Amino acid sequence: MNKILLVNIDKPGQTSIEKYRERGGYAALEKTLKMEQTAVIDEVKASGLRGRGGAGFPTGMKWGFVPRNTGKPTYLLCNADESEPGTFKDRLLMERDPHLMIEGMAIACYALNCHLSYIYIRGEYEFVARTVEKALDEAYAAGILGASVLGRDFSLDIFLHLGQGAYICGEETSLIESLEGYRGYPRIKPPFPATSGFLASPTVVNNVETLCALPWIITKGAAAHAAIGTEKSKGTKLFSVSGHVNKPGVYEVDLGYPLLDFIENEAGGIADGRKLKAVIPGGSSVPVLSESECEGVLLDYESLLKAGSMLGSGGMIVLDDRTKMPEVLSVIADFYAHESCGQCTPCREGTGWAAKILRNMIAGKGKPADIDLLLKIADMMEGKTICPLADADVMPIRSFVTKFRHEFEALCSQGEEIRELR
Amino acid sequence: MPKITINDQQVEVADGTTVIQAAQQAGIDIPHYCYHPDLPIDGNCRMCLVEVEKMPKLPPACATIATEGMVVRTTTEKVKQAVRGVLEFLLINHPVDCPVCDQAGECRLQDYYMVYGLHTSEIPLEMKVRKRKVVDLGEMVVLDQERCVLCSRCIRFFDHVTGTGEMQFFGRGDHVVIGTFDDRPLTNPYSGNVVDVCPVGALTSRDFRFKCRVWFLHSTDSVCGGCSTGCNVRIDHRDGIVFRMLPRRNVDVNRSWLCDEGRLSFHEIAAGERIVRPLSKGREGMQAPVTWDDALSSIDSKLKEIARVDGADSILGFASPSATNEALFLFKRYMAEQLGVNLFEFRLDSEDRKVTEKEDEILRHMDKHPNSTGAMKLGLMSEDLGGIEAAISAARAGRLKAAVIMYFKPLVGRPDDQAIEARIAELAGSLEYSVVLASHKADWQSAASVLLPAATWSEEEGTYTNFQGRVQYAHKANSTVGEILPVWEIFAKLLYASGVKELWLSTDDVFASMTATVPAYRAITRDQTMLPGVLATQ
Amino acid sequence: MKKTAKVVNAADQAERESSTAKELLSPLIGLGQTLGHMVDKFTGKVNPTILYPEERRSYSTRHRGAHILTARPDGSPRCVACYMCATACPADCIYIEPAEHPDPLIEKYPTRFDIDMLRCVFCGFCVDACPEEAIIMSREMELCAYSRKETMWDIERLMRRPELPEFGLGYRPNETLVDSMVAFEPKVKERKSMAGCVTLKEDVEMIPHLIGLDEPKP
Repeated sequence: MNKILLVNIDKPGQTSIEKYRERGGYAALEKTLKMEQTAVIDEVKASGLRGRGGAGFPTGMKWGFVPRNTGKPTYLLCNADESEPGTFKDRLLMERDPHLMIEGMAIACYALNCHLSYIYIRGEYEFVARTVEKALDEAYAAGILGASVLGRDFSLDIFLHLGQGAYICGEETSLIESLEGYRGYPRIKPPFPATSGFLASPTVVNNVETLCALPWIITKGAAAHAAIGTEKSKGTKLFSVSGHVNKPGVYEVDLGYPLLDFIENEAGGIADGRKLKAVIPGGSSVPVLSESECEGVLLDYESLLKAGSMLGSGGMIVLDDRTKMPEVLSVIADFYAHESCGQCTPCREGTGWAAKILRNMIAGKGKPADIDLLLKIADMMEGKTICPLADADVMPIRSFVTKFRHEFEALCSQGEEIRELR
Repeated sequence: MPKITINDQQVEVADGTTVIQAAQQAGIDIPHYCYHPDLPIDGNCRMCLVEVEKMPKLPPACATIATEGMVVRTTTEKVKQAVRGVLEFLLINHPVDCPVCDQAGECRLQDYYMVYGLHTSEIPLEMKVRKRKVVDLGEMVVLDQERCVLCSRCIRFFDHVTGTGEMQFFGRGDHVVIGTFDDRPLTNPYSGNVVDVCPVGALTSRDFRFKCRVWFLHSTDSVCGGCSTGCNVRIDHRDGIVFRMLPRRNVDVNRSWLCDEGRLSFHEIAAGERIVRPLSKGREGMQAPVTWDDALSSIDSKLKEIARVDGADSILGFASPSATNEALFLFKRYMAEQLGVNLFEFRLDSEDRKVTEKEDEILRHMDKHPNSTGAMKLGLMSEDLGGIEAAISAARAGRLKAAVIMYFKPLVGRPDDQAIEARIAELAGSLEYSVVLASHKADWQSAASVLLPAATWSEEEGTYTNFQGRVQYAHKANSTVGEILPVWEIFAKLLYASGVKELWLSTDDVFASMTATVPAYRAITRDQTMLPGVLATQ
Repeated sequence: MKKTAKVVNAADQAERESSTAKELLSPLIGLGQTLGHMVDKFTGKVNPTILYPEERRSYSTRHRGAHILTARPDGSPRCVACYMCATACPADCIYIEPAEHPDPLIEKYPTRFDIDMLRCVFCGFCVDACPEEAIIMSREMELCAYSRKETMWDIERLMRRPELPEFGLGYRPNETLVDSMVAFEPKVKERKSMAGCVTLKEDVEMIPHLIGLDEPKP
């Protein structure tokens, strides 16, 4: 198993710049600064690195869209607003190895000719933010950031911005809107951030994990990175496993690793010797996979898509056979109803309505017709909003209801019986 | 100039036109809430979803720029399903209290429900999200958060038109509400506009509240008489009573807006007692009712006598900048042609200077008369005299013997109105013979030798020339009562009584005479004075 | 096989189905009917004549008589002054003046609600139009007055109906009122007999000739 991101994660003192440099830190940045800016982009393109935030868009290609010499500054925004339920990989990276992220950002900034960069960190991660802030101070003191990066003719400033705890601000355009000081509402695309984003300037928003992969790629070369993983999914990926497993936590595996093996070998198998019932492979917003569907599925973008789910952010939630699926869905639906920003009609009203129906069902007040109503609401919401939050609610609703319909039906007929008794 | 196809109809539109605008040009109505032609695009309501070939999802027509060869469909089953879904979402938490809602009858929710919805409600009453009702937002606006569709038009209005940003969203998800911070009242002089931009009953007018159901109202297109901006308005009235004034869109003048002063200016029409019949001073010096014919023939003979005895320069024609061009034209025609009068004035204050002076950067002008430019273009301003003060001293000195005075109280009040009225009173009082045209009764009118009852703003029809020199036509909203006559008709009758054989039976006739003789209005047709109006030559 | 359209003519059909026997019998059948009624009349089984106004017929529960404004449980009018009745009214006989209700959940209520009973055509459109079940009709149809002024029924008169117990509720959207109440509960048991049909004598209620209109009965 290759290690790209978690190489030094458990080593003592890794958060300090001395220890980080001792272990070969900032060497990649030194190397980068000697390269042509376009050469760095080509290197990342060749490495096959894809965005680790959820969408899986090729990072090099994203950088390639940024127009040069527009007369406006280019901004790199580091998306550390990790709020997807089940996902906690970025937190580990920032908490244990903050300089890796800073180095990755510096490399990206050099490639994009960006001199001002922001880390948008989730409001609840205040303790993580302190670690990152200390690391930034150290980097400034060591001359890695500031007017002259490592003594070269390249200036870079990185600022830390603490969000206020809204899930939607993890979406790149609402992150930009929030950073600008407005209400965190997603923007209509086009224009895309690459051409007109933060302060109407070309902007790249990258996930923490994506940026953390850059130093390794620069040091070891694009070819070494491209050699790991499958044909289209290169490199390694962090999976944050939670739920009914013996060893929940963050694991780094090569893309293309079999899902069931991962649960068995890495996460220590299902807890209490129970049977696997279902897996949500990439954070709460992706379709659930039932046990039979997990068979033969590989942990990479394509294989999961073929199986009817998505890799997402790698927040894997494992559910055993005791789990009541309507209750899980109700919790997920409540989350999206709470986190819907309220801008577009379908998401604002649909997420709330679906959550209420599910809460009613759990309380034993459901009607059999509610099940089809849930699917109808999902149809009415899907693909009709500015950002994908509505779709993120639709995917679990539709997959849970269709794959575990009998459980919902049992719950509703039970409710019907109770009503009749009354 | 991209060519696009909408529902098999080819349209060529300007660069940067959105699909919804292109559809409007093609006469196709796309349902929408948040899109407003004079506000920035937001794209949040998702009602204007259309099908565009080669696009996987349904894009919103308001935020999609028309590009060459684009094929748009607005009536496919997929689009209808989507719109129906959005409408159902909008209605699930709506209180459906149409019986007590003032917007009923002109509500987009009602309209689109009849076209796209017609579904039965699938949400039980107790599941609805309850929000606050009857929130007081100052003197112009009442807010009902439950009825709101959160289209953000009001927020964008305050952010981008007035730039004051009083309103904002509060909360998240289906608990989002609109409001002002700490329920502070809207004190903005344009706050009434949010009632118009609100497509539903969330923001309703405090002034119009419960006054009348909108389907009883008749609408008349007019021009605001509140100041020299000449905003295009719609007068809504029933049984001769004006209930409200709404802006009419004219991109070249007021866009879709109207200031609050102008919006409420119609109250001035119903305020105070009207003069309902001509009054003339008898031997005892008391005003007594006379017939129109007697009044006009006595005015004509008396003025002609003064002109013969004391010379035409002892007669002043004092016009009102609130009267229509047609009225002023006939007034001047009578005075100049029949009596040979050279002295004309209309300035109560310094309207000729104030007419283009801005009160703020949005609409309002300092001059609170709708037709000062028109009076100037008709030459009703003599440099020899230079305002009402000079006229008063001339009258005091005995150089002025008689005057025909038109005076209408401004629809938008100013602090110095009383002082101005006192000057008019002084002028009328220091003359030997005065003919006064007025709409409402006032104490000073007892000084008038003859008092003629004139129609007020909403009862007049004709053109007004705004500060830009734009000639705009205002229709008559309600008829005059009693023996009141429009000003143009009074002078048409006076000209007839004076022996002129030309007949003016309508304002159209007067307009035709005016465009034939007045250089500033040459070659302007009646149709041109309709929306968006036409600029008079300098 | 081609089907030919056949025009069904009632007269043709009667001719086809008639027979000599039937033709001879039919006057006798008619005579039998008449004799039957005569016997019923003599034996007192049916009495089409009643002694009005001491006796009254029972009208249909859909009878459209004078209007009633229903009340909320606290006795205030249920009407929200939405003008639906005034809009639907073909006779233009309803005049409403609304005002702001202190309770924001009610928001609007009428300070004036007048019906000009002389203009009213008793079409019942107002009842159909009402979204609140605020206006219903009674079975009262004896609307006499000494002056025209009395025929203008105001909100008080429309709500307080002391004579109502004698007549009962008429045209209304629901058999039993939902959420609304009338100021006086009807005492008369409603019967399902059709208006215009002959009513059996025992079904005709005897009512006192004079009712004190000013003394509301508890």
